[in-house]
Amino acid sequence: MPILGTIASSRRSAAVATYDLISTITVTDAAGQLELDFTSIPSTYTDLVIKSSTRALVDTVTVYVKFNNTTSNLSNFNFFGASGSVGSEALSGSLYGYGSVAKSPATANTFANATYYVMNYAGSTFKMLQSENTNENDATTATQQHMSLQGGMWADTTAINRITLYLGGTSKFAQHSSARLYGILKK
Amino acid sequence: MPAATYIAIDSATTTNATTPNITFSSIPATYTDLVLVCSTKPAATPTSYGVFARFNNDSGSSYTRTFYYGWSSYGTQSSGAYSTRLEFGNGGTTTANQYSISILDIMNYANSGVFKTCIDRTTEMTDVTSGQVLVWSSTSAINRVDVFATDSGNFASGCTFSLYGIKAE
Repeated sequence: MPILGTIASSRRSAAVATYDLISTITVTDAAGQLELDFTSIPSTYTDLVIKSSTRALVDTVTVYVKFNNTTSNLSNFNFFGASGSVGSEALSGSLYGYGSVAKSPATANTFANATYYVMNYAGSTFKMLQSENTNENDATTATQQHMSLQGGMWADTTAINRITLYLGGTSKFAQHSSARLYGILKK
Repeated sequence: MPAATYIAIDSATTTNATTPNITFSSIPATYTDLVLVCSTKPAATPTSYGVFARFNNDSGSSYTRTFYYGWSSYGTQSSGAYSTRLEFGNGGTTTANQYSISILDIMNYANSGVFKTCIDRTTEMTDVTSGQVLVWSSTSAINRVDVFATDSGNFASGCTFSLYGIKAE
């Protein structure tokens, strides 16, 4: 095991394969789906990772995240590059990143990609989220295209057993949008 | 048959507020890349806000970085001069229950033909979210990683450090 403080030689037992697929959600309804909702998440891992591929049925690129179906005690930093500019946002009250392709003016069949990392999700400290989002959409007019790095916190010590991605209001994810939940177990 | 990858190599959790550094030593050369995931906070209010690392105990001026960061309504990009350590995280807050998160990818760590490039993403919720690329100007295979708390300080209790190995084939 690693050494805390004073440097010494390492002692290590066998390494362990991790990054286990827990669940996959795919939108099959042509009318879309309001949420990509992972429920009953087991507490047996150290961290969680979500990989998503999403497109909206409306003109929004913002994907929100909530834990345990609550939107309380959330805060967010978002650094982004968009259509030739850079910017940063700080916000209390929600977790969000630019992780979806909008209906317009995006080219048909284009989807955004995002990776969400949730650290120590089953622990008793505040829960930290970090995500990387891209939504290039192959449109000749450079609008609603971003790269963003999102950092967020849920100021709650409750273990996370549910993670929901949503677009807000009645906005829906388009058919073929998907998300996959992985569990990572430390040594 | 695909090979299992993303292997949990080792981890550590601080159990007191008197730990200035963590050392992962004797890292096997059998992976392609390493991933170091850190959840950190300082034991006391620091004079600077970094979390630092060194490879193979090299304290020479061998480390550089280019980074971007955002906080509030402000975002920017910058590059640093050669440094004696890799500054990759942020350890600025002592707020109860609140830890910063850093994910450091160490690419081609065992390849003796290249300088070692790292990609870091860090968030500290009272200060900043940032991304950076860092280089250790050495062709030596990395077999040891030391992680240090902010200047002359200690990590708080409950900090976690997890090292993973990723195989390309």
